[in-house]
Amino acid sequence: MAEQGLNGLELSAFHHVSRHCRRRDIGSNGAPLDTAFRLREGEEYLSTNWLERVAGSNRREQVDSVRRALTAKGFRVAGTSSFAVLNVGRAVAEFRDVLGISIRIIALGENNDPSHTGIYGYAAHNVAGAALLAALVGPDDVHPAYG
Amino acid sequence: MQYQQLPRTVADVCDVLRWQGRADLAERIKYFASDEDLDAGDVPVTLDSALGFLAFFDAVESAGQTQLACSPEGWICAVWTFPDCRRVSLWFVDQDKVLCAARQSDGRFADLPGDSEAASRLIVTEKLVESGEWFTWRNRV
Repeated sequence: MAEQGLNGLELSAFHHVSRHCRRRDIGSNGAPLDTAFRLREGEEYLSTNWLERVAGSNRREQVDSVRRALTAKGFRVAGTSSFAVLNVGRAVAEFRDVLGISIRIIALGENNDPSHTGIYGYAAHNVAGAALLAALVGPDDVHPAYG
Repeated sequence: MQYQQLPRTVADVCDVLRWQGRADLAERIKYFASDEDLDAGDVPVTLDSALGFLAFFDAVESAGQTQLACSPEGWICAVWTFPDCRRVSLWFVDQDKVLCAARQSDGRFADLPGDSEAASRLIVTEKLVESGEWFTWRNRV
């Protein structure tokens, strides 16, 4: 239960989250496209992982920790997958300034995935939201699932 | 472009794109048609979506860079990016319907049909070209 002690916490602006992207979500320039960030019908939030919450002194180690946690809970992470990294403050500000939407990134830790977080506040039909998040991810913000 | 006959398979769509000199897009769609990298419940790209994309791609020209992704429903999501903040995403739900998110040079999203529920591909194409921000007609007389 200790892993869930932070649940409900809203991540602050200087933190970062990662989003798993399949090969079919990644464009020819190596950056993820909108499909990586669109909610499926019925989903309440976009699943992400809080990178400052996992073991690792650099981005590579943090991504490795996330991948191990996802794999441990049965999530398939293919060798061709990548993780896109989003800065919380930029994501929140872009939604507010461009779309007039207030999103929140909330800790949802589980025993086998303590860094689990969710992006709340935009709906499956909001394709502009998915486009906005995709556009925030630059080439330096994408990390292969297996370094 | 006029086809001898409408492509009947995703492979036919890929052949047309190769013939048009876009082997890169053809290879991408060929990959979307495979079972590789699909999660439970996901489907390969649908023929209807591929036909919708091909029809749009044939109708317009753009200075933007075209990139393709595929949704779990098998819809092609085509994205055109530009050196400035302009960016257009079209989700080809089927042959005739699209979802659309188009960011203008002022940084705002255009108020277009298809931004919250699927709309007519033809109408969205007209609106996108009329705005002059992202596309021009190809070979329209």
